[in-house]
Amino acid sequence: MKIEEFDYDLEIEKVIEEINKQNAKSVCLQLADGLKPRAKEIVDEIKDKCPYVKVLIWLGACFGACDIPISLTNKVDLTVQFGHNRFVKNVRGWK
Amino acid sequence: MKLLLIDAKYNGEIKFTKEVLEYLKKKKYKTIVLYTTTQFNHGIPEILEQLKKENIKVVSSQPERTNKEFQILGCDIYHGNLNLNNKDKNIDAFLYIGNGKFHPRALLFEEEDSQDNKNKEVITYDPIGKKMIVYDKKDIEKVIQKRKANIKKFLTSEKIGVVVTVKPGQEHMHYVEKLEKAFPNKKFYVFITDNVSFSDMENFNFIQCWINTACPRIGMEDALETNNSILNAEEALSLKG
Repeated sequence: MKIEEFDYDLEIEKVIEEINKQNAKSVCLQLADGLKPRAKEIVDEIKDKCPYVKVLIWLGACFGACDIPISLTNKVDLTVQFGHNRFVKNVRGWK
Repeated sequence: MKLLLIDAKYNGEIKFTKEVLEYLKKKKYKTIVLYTTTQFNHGIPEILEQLKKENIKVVSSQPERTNKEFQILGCDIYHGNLNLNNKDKNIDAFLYIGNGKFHPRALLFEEEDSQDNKNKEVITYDPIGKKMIVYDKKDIEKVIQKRKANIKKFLTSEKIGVVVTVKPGQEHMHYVEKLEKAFPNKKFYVFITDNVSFSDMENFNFIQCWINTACPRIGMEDALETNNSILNAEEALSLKG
């Protein structure tokens, strides 16, 4: 399936723009569960447009924008989360 | 490491089927609260138009952790998180656009936490499968029962493990001090991790009960997946009085 035929708009052009803007050499992709089967097409598209970039797919869960791969902080230049929006943290706690 | 967030907006039609509108009519619902996820938020104007035609009043809000009106996140599970500010007095039901149980259950937990005994149902509509499912208190009953048992265990335990995560969005170390102050007769051991795993907890068998300070859903449905007792920090702190 072509990426433009997907049910969801994955805004790959925005991802490519950010890779170029950050001059990123490595990118980690985190996907909401429903989008995980589409990882192949997303990686292929990024590799096609930016062949020099190392693209990694986060294997584990990613429940939201709170769930970032902190262990990769100094290991990848950019993380892209698909399916989540900016998260507002309440520093006081949950209530 | 920079972070880029992509909404992954749904490309298809976001519109109620007759089934949903007829259900609302049958139930004589006059006022509903409407929520969705970031994938479907752009479809809200059409949905509002449909509900207006049916003379159904829509109430909504921007819940505490979201940055858009009508959006709901899985972590806004406590009463007050929805920021409805008393607009919920005359609400008949919740209406959720999206798929899966994760977000509808957040609304059921919020209803349970409100303690007004109304436990309004959550009508969900999935625009992809064009399917309606209705959830109510029964869908979280097992979680509520397990939580009751875990509360008893916490109250009778002396050695408590507090799990704190290093993920910046979920890190709430401040709960440790609050717990120590609220329960001076208990001994709190603080565990730090980047991924909360029940099997990792089993190695520390001197801990009688665990307190979760990371994602609040760990102390809810996830708690059913372990024989250990685990309770959310908010639940534990609410017991101090």
